[in-house]
Amino acid sequence: MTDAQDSGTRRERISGYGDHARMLCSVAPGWSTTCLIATALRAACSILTMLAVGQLVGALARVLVHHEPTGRLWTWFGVFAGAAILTQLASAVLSWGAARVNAAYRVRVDELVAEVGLHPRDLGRLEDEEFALSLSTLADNSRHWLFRFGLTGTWELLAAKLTALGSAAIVLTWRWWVPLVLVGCILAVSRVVAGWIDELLDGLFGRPSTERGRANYMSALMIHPEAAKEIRLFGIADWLQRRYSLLWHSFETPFWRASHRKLTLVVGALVVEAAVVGGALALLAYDAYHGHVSAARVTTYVLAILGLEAFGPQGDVQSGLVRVAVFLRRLFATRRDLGLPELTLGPVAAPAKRSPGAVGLEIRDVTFTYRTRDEPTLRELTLIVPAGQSLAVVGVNGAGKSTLMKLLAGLYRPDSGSIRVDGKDPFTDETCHGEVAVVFQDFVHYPLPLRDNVGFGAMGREDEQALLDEALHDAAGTEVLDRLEGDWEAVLSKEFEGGTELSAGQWQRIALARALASVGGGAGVLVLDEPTAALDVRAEAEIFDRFLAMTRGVTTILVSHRLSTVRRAERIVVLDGTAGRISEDGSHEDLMARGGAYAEMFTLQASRFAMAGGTPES
Amino acid sequence: MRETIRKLALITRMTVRTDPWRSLSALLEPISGGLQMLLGLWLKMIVDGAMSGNTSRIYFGAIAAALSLYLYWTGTLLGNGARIALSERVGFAFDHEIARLTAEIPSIEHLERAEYVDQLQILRQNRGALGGSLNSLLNALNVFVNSITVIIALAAIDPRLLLLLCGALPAVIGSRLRLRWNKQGEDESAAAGRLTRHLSGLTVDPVAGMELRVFRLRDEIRRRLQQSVREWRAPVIRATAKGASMKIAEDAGFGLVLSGVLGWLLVGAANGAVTAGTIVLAVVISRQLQGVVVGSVYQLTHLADTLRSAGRMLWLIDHATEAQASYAGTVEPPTRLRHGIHLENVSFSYSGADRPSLSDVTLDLPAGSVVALVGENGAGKTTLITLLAGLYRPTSGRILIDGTDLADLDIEGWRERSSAAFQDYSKFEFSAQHAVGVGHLPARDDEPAVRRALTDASADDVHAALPDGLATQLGPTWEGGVDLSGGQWQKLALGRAMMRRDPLLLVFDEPTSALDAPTEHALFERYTAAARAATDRGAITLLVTHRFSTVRSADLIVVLEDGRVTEVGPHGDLVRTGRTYADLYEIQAQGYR
Repeated sequence: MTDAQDSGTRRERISGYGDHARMLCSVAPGWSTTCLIATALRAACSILTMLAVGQLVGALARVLVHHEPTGRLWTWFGVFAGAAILTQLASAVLSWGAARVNAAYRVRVDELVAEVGLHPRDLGRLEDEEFALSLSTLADNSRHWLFRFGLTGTWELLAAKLTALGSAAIVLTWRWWVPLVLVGCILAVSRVVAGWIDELLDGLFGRPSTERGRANYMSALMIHPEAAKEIRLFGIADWLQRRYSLLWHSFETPFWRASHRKLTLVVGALVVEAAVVGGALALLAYDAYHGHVSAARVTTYVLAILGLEAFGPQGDVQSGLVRVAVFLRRLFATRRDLGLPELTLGPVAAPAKRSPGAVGLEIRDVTFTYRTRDEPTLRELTLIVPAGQSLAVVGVNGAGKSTLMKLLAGLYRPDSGSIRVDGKDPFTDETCHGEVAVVFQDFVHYPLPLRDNVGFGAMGREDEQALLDEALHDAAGTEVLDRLEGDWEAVLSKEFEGGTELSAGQWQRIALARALASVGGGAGVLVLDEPTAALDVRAEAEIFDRFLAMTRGVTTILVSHRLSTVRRAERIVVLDGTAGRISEDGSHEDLMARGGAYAEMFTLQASRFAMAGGTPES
Repeated sequence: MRETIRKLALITRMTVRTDPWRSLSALLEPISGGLQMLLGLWLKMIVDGAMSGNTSRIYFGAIAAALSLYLYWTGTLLGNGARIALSERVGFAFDHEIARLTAEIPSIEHLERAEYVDQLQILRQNRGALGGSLNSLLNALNVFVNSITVIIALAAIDPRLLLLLCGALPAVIGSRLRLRWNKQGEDESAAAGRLTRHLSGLTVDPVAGMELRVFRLRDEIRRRLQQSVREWRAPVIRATAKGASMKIAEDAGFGLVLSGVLGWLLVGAANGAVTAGTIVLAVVISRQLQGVVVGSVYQLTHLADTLRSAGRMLWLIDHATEAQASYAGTVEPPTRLRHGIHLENVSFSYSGADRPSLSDVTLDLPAGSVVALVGENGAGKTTLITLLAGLYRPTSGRILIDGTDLADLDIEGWRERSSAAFQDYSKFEFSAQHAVGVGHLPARDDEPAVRRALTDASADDVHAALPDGLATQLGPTWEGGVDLSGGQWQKLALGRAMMRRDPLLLVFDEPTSALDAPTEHALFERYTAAARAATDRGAITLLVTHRFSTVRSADLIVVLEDGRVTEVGPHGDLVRTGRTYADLYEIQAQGYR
């Protein structure tokens, strides 16, 4: 539980409050100023009310005891009534203004967090455990109810603290040392209490511990449809439940025990506080009895002493504000690390249009190791592909084929060696971005209209209907369009009204169409990583019959285990997983003649058809 | 009414059973809230004492004020702590119950219905609300009691103060309207909210991150996100602004009524009919009045929300009970098959689908055979195997296991005699040992058994991707966890299917979609051999695939088209008849000539 420190250190909080103020000014300067004025007004009215009530009592005493005229009484009543109405108005303005400020604030926070995830070009950064964890913690925290409470309650809390300061000033006029002792005591007790509450909330809502994460994983597993079949077939629901319960209790029990131990201290601290406040009230009574303090002042002082309590913790709102402050500190630190401005969004560049045309690739002596692995996946690999060639890459599972494609797309930086796409480094050179279009095995299902799902590939030409039509047609996706009744605006997710859910095979065609659209959008290299894994025989045949037509004018790299499709490529290379480099290189005929790993694999697959016999060879 | 009582009973039972002591401490918060209401009374005492020079009243008032303050602070704090703990623990208890009920429903049909999944989603999101349900009940009770107390107090101090209630009345109506507007705003923005969640998800997901980078979509997604966030917030902002304008009127109105009533009292005070203490008490109570009145609206709404969540929970309980009823079979399944599995006019439709996925399928799967199931996407292959595993019930028709209806068999027992590798296999992020071992739970910690299963699945090379061997944690988000390629995950799923030693039904659904050629070949060799060895048990191996190279060696090939069986027979026969199977086979075989 030691890493669960989301209420941060004291220093972090204090500078975080400054960040919070800067954010408020930045997102809605006008409304923030309005809220600040209304808050100050509310605090002033509260102080005025304390004075007015005291003076009212005093005036009343004079009217009753000394039979003075009632003029003074009504003056102070006027002050009281004015303050009461003004307080109400200020509160109303505040709830109006605060809603505006909060809305803008939350929009900005969402944008700032999203930018953190989108900014690094280096995919390795996003996969880095530490970075990923802090990013997801940021995203979770910004949606937490405590964060919302803190944000909404900012002004209320500020008003309470200002009123407490005013109350302290009032009590100063009685005996100067009384407010010092009282405020000192309340602050000390408040630290103990807030420490306890923060620890409690950190434990519950802070960065999740491994056990907590695992427990949540178990419970999600039981509920989500993904694992439903196997859970039932293998009968592991009971086991998962036991593990869930066990894991949950393993972090929860010691946590509550620790929290319980601290409770004695908290109750003790409160006894001290009550004694001190009671003492102050008793002293006031003593002074009143001896006539040192008038009835008017007694009333005001009592109200002011009770008002000092606001120096103490203010419940969920204050705990929430602590989280806002710490959240901002961390968000800003992460943004600074990435070279992004703290409070404002980085510039959005209009995507430069690319000119179409195939480009060549040069991979020389590239070695690459994943952060989580000890052994390099690729070792001194060299592969040169002239512009316009169609190349197929084959190799056993885990040989590093997908890794090679990601390197080509500039998603990682190689340990050593060089990669050039059209003579430029895809990792560092911005003008190279968009040159390599890839259909990944885990492509994205955008819950957006078909137009976006295909057009997202087009890089600046998404408005050209003819381009999208052609891409979808070439990807054997006409059937998908028919299913959507020809509606390019149909949303591809059942979660949205009027949306349609596609099957795995249909999605795969959409992903392929997206990549084909990018060729029209100027990509010079098209990478197809198992583009037909979820398709049936006919659909696969349909796509590969068009393979040559659709890859005209672009350098193509096909990664596939289905060697019947691979052989259509002009050139085939075999990636040897153990060596991490290319072991065979040539056309289908060359490699078959060579009798190496490729020939062996092909013969193996073909033999199953040959063995089948039955079909006359003619 | 009966429903409401059921809901209240559920909440109370769950909470009290989970943590009786903290349930009791949850009473502290409302009680101490009541104590705070007394503060005005002590103030009155002090002021009246000061006015009349009665020291004992001042002292009494001061001590009582300090004491009730202390009790209020402590009560609130302890109650607060208890509430957080209780809501966490009861939230867990509910979540555990939700997971248990969902996972123990033998069918998976419910999980494929959008409205069920939606309900479940809402239920889980609100488990915090369920956790705090007892508090919400107590708070609602508390504001009710407080309101009555305040009204009695006002009437007792001075009946004129009851006029304040009229001043507070607009706030009651206003609060209700505001809640309704906010709810409307939330409903209006729900779709944009979901889109925002999806898009934000894309920004932090490394897998989606690849594509966003490759297609230069990062700025586009950022723009979309900005737009959807704005659309999401806009209705809520409008509702809040509307509510706030109304609140200005309400508050100003209350301020005026308050001033008027106090002025009236002061006239009396000037005549000595009302004491100064009463004035102070009136001021304090009027402040509390506003809180109590508005609070009651919020608490009652909150209680209504909680009851709605409890209603969803009851719905789940009822659904689970009902679903269990269709799996009430108790007949012990056989230990070996003599005749095989017979499908008799089996049809199946997904709920809400306009046409059946399987229609009137009659089919014999002889004991001891290897059967291949082929057909195009959406032909009903997966539906058929899901029915055989008892994960769905046929809409009509029967599945007979050696003559006994599957519906009459003890479903757990039948599943223990089946095993499968599904096309959409699960990526269990456990240790590799457990990810494979759960295929046969009793042997989950048995390392040799897991090794043997991996060998049977031709998945020995997966070891190379596991730095700590079988103890390696899978899933990159866990500490020290590794990510595997699609093919490696699939091999683990195959290993899992190989854990049970003597299943009567072994299903492979597209088992090699992500596998390389050597593995695919080895795997088919192995399991045809295994199937042959298991003929004495009468075991049936069912293979679903697009790859016709692997179909040939099956004893029986079944072709499904649009939910109907169109061809049945061994490879040679089907090729000779020259229909769909022969066509599809020819398309693939051509690739290898």
